[in-house]
Amino acid sequence: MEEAEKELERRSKFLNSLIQKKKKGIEQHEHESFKVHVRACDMPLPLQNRALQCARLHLESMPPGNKLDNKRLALALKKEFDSSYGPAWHCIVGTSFGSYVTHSVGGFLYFSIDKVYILLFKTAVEPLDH
Amino acid sequence: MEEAEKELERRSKFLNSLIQQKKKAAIESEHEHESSLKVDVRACDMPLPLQNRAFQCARLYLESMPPANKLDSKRLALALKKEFDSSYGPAWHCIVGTSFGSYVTHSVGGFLYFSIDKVYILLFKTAVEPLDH
Repeated sequence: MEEAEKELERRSKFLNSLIQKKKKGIEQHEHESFKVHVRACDMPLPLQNRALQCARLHLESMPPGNKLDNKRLALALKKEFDSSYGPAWHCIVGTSFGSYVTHSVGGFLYFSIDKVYILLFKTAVEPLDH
Repeated sequence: MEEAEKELERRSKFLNSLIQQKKKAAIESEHEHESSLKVDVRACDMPLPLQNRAFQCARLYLESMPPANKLDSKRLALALKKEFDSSYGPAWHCIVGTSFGSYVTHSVGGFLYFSIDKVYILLFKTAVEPLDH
């Protein structure tokens, strides 16, 4: 009977171990589940990565189940790019839109992350003495 | 009996007249429906003539689509951008859709955000790079 108890305990530990591994796997999957898809691009790679990172951080910072605030994400991206790479950047965020724009060379990125589409592009600005 | 026949004929003409009026009203009602695409200006920094130009362009485009066809956001965006680029100078940018938010910087007097029927349209102007840049 003592041998049987040891065997049951061993199996119980093994099952717990499997459960823990499964949970870890799920957490990892959740963390990495924001799939990024670049759909159109005229932008140096470092800037692309900056945009993808900014968008991902914003989405991850939202409580699960909360509705995305398109305007806040658009503002976050525009501010980051205006301050880091000079004005003027424009950002559109949504699940259903089409667009036609004129952009500066090297300043255009259209990508999707999770179920959201993001358009980020740069234009010239009016001279201050205009 | 002749009087009765006249009365019947008179009533028949009257009924025909009613039917024709009904048909005419139905046709006019359809016409009204065609122009019933409701426009709602949600944010604006643009002279009135340009606003009206945008509304007219969008309305003509939507009316030209066969009923029940799915909106082609990109084509409408292109139509508006081309019209404004050619009429008021570059560079104009246009976003069309049913679900989006935005943050942009625009030139003075060059910003319009409106809805027409169930579609939202953002139209704005910026400076362009100098050609010798």
